[in-house]
Amino acid sequence: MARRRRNISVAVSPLMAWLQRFAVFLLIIVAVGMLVWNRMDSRFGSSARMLVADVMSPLLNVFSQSSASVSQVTERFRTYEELANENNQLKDQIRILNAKAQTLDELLAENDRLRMMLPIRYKTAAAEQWNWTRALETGRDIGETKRMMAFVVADHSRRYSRSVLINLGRNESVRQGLAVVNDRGLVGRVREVGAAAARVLLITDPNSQIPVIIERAELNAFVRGTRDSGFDPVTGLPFDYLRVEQDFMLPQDLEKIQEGDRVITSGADGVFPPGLLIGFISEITPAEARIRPTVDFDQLSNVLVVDYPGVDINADLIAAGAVGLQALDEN
Amino acid sequence: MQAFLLIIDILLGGVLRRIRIVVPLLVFSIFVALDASSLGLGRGIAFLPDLAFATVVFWIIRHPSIMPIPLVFLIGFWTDALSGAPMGLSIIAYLTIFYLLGSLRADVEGTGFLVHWGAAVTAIAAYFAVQWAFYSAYDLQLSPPFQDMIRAAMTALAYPLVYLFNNTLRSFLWRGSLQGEDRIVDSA
Repeated sequence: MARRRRNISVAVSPLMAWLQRFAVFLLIIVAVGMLVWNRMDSRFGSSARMLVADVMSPLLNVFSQSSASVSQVTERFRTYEELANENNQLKDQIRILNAKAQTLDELLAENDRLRMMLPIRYKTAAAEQWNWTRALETGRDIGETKRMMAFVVADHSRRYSRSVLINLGRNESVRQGLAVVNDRGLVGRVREVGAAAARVLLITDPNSQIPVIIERAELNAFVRGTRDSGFDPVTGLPFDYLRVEQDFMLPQDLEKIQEGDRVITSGADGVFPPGLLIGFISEITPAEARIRPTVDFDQLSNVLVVDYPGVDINADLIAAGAVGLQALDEN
Repeated sequence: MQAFLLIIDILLGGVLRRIRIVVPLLVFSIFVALDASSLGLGRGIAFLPDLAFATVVFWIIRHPSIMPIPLVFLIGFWTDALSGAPMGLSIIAYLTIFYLLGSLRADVEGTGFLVHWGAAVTAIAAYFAVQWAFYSAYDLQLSPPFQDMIRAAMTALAYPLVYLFNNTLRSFLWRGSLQGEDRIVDSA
């Protein structure tokens, strides 16, 4: 009996080895198939991804919170000279901001007076922007916009897609498409949602396209992320940048753009609130206009998820037209 | 170190030895979470060694019976899901090194640390090269290799530390039954 069993194991062993080797190739083919499927449909595997993110979320939370604490501790060990310099810079900034705030108050008052003279009343992008600014200042939800504070628990923005994982998910009413911002400007939008975590596609990802307004030039345009990095001329440190999509612009419009122009969201897609700062035009070449984002994507920690109801531009225009006609009839 | 291991042995030794097959997987999970978390390093994180991958390499070389093919597939899947990589990319790379290390096993078995490190460095180079090649094909353009090369070099340099840590863990978990079990398990 024992001899028979040994004979069987001797016969089975090469077969098992062959099967094992065959299994490796078979599974590699399966994995290649997954990669091809992912290429055709970027949403492939998103449920599985978010399931893994949900499972790992507590561990990721621990590591991220610990690293944030370590960063805070190291921040305290800065030299006196650095702190003094920063203090001076901040004082200068406060003076500039105070001057701007005074001008802004005057402009707002003038704007209100002019609006009162208009025969029609409708929600404008500027009004939405004002609501949004007040929401950020007061820390309260203004109008229909809801905001949720989140923490970045995983940063995948360096190797493949430019995305981060945040510690809020379906349980906290986060859903796909919501805008994500921080105190410096627009960060990205929620792409995948799990129960306790969500993946945010950063604005610097090549798959991210945003309708914007280039303020000084008064141009509507689209901006897209890139895989390339630019280098800060002062510090020499690398940073990710965005690119103005030239396919949707006229050549004469392109000539209006200048370095230093402010770029803000137009809100035309109904996803991002209008007026959110994206960045400034940093470089113009014959081939492209680059935007340096104001958000430092290397130091992302606290962000706000914004449930913005969106602007239905057509409905606004129809409403405006109806009120305008009514005003004409009355006259 | 000895005193620390003794305390751990008294407190957790019995439990850990009962679940020792899943301990390498736990170590992998901790390293992969550490790698995925932002750590406040920003761009610098891209140049840290891939400790999770190095851990898997150690266990595939030293104790292949606890790293069967389905588990290696799952590890690749887990890595893809957590790193934001296209699904399948790390699976292909992990399966490739599984096959490669399987071919090298006869030469590595029973040898010293330097040969083990040599095999690990070969696996590390293959892993990053396969990832780079398949990602370039996926993206339909050549991905810049610089970052992968730096990460591969950092992983190869950090491997002795990973070896030391995992070898200590292995000695601790398989204490007493190490010789007998190795003979049976590793020859499978």
